[in-house]
Amino acid sequence: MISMEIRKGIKGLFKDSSGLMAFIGFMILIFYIIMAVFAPFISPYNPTQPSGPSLLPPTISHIMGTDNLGYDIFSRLVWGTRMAFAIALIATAIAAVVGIPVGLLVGYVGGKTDRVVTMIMDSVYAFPGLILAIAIAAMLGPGLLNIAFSIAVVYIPTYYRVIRSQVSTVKSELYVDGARAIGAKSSTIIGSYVFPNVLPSTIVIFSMNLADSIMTEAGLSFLGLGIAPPTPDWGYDLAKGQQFILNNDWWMVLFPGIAIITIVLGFSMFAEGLDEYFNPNIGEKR
Amino acid sequence: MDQEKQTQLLSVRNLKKYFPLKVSWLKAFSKERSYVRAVDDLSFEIKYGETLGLVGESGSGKTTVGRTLIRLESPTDGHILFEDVDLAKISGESLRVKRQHFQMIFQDPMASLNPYMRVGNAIGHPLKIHHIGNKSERKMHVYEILNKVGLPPEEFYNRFPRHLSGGQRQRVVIARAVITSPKFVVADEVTAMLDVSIRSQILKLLIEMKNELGLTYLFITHDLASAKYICDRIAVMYLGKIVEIAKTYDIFKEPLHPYTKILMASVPVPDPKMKTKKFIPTGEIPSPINIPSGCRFHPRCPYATKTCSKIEPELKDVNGRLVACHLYDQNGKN
Amino acid sequence: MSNILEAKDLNVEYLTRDGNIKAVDGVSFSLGFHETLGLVGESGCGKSTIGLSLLKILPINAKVSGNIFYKDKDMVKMPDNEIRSLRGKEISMIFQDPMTSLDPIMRIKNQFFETIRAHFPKMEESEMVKISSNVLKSIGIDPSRLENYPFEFSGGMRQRVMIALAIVLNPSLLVADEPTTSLDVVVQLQIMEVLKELKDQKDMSMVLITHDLGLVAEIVDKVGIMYAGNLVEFGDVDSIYDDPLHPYTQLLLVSIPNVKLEDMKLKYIKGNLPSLKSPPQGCKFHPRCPFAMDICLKADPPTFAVKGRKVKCWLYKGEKDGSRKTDTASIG
Repeated sequence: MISMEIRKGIKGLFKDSSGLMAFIGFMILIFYIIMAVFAPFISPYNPTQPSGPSLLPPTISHIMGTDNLGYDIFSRLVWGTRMAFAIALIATAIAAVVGIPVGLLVGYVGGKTDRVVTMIMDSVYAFPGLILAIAIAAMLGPGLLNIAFSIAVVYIPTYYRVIRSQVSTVKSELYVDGARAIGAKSSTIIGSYVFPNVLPSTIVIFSMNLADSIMTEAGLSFLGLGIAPPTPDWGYDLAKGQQFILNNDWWMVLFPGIAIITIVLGFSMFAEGLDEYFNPNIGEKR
Repeated sequence: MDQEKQTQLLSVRNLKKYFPLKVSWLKAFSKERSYVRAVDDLSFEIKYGETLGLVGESGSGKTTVGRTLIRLESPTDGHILFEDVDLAKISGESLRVKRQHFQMIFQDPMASLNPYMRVGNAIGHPLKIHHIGNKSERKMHVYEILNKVGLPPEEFYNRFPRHLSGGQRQRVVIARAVITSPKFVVADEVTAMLDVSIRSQILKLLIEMKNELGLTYLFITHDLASAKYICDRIAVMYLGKIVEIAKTYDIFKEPLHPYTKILMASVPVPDPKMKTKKFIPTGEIPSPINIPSGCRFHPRCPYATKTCSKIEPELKDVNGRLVACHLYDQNGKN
Repeated sequence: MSNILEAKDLNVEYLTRDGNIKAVDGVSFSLGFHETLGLVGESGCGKSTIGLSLLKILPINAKVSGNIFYKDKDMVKMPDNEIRSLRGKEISMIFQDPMTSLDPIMRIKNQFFETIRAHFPKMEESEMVKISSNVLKSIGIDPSRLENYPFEFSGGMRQRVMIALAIVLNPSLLVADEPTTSLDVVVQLQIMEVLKELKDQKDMSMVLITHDLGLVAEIVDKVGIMYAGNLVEFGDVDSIYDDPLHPYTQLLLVSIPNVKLEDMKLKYIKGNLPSLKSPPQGCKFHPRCPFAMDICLKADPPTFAVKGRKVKCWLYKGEKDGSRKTDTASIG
């Protein structure tokens, strides 16, 4: 996964101050959240209406320039934040809602069920993420929910794998034996003893997956499988800009590209910081 | 006979617990499977209000006995008569409901509490599970028991286990084990992971709890010395078998089985003048996969004879005590 | 040079995210040639930290001050390359867990070779085999087992191999950190016997770190009792066991379970071990001490010399002969 690579890189950079890293990530996210929430007030123009001459380089009235149809790129960027967040959140939520309970249940029950379900999940996981998403998206057609769903399918195994392996470790902990000894039902054991102990790792995967699904969404839109134009979308804008790169119209590619990179970076840094925070084994100031 | 039955809380008959060994799937076709014979044909009784010590080295199967008695493991064979119910035969809901009557205290206090459950909730959880009392009654009960185990409730009720020391956690575990007033408690190496100055405190607490709540214990330990203070009778276990059972006084007065003698001699004595060469046993406990023929102890036994390597000795009455050793075959001392 | 080892006002502090932890607090002791010292205490008392600082293998967040003189050279100030040439050859260490201290995928033979080569890179293999075989034989393992892997040994045998590895280069000082704690009671005794024989046969000093006062009684010459980073009592073994001066030592000795039938009363020390992050004011033992006086609550006691021993307790202020004796019979 791309976010994994980024995580590793960042970890090297900020080895000593996970707190600072999480903070920077958090600030980036806040920046984009504000942009998404207050899009109508921030964007100077309607993102789906031409607002000036086409292919205008950045000027004072159009700080990021305009595209081939005369749409203001800055306004599209601001509105595109909403789309990025919406799809990422919905996709990750679907993946979590399916992956976590299945992982919990299968991990706790174990045995043959475990082998069968894990085999299915592994085969999905082994498939290149983007290609799988493309296949599903192509089948379902464009539309916000369809895109979110096709991305979610890719990330269900991520949750499942992490939760299942955590559960099978936690299951053999003495306190789970203790819960059995006091006569707790299996549902109580999973709910009160197993789940709280695997929860921290879910939060970390959740924020990691948000980064990944933004990337995947941009990829799908880039390939024309995303949201139907002219709805503002970073991946779509990037793909469109790429057609004009040979004309030296660099602003059409640069700004959506920066947006995608920074938001993914923000999520990754935040996830890495959370990971350190939840990892009780890191206690020393080195 | 009838009267005898009534004084017994727990009666274990021919208890066996074998763990199948993982074999490669190629070998799985052959019918012979190897087993770890962790508990191999054990029979003993525990009377109401009694504390029975189960002493042995690691690998002797003593912890497996404890876990099987309270049905954290299912026995391979045999009976566990708990009052009038055979615990070996029940399962599912009927076993779950029965669990309020028997409890276990585990060895590692750091691992036996859920890190995300506050002390008060952890202790009260058995009451909630078995629907004993309403919410405020349960809380009162937890306060009461916290006081009994020496943890001021105002201070400890809302704490998380990670803020407690090992000794305090073990107190919480004890409180949770006794809150349903169980009839039978298995205490598995409760002091082994604790600091020297804390061990005796916890032993004392166990004794207090027993006297106050009328508990019956199975006290599992590797340390004969700490068993002395709490047990009424002691059973010595070696490789899945009991080799000697006797009253605590008798065992310490005169251990009969050679293995008991060795365990007795291996308790360190804090006296620098004991520099004389004492009897140091050789060898180590073998793996329970390859159990020696005949008497399981014969390869390490200083008194072993030819018979010992061929015939497995049974637990026999020797001067009113039970010993499994050929040395006492003529119903008397050698 | 009368002592092989001398620690003077040794302090070790661990810097952590939530506050500093003083693991060793002003500890001074000395150890003569061919002597054995037992460092006894409970978890968190700093005994293992002292062991690690003797080889200078403390974690990087540890801050050390004071002096440790090894053969009159201060190890605290010694450069790393010089320390490295001492480790394994002059000073070596045995750790608690023999299951994890040996490389599981390396034949015992090669683990010996690696240790030897670290100091004698040019030694012939046949020579190394000879040395390793002799060491193994001396601690009761057949030399043919050099070809085996660690998993082919039982726990006790592994600890013997660890000891053999530690003494293969004839070190002058052996540090053993809880060498028997993870072993069974019977095996524990066997390993102590091995160490005792080593002590008699080799020209070597030993530092035995343990929580078990009973276990080391027969083997050590000097004993240091540690509590919460302090060395509370230090002296020769016979006098400490016969006539313990510090209340903690007294209580520790009576609270060891024994197998005597006439002694059926359970004795213990009240209270809990102090937190290292916020230790009690004054003497760190005062909340658990049956003899605590006003001054104990306020001021950390200095170390008094009583009867040729060192005691860190206010009870011995102004005592030269140590005639004042506390009564342990009332404890319990």
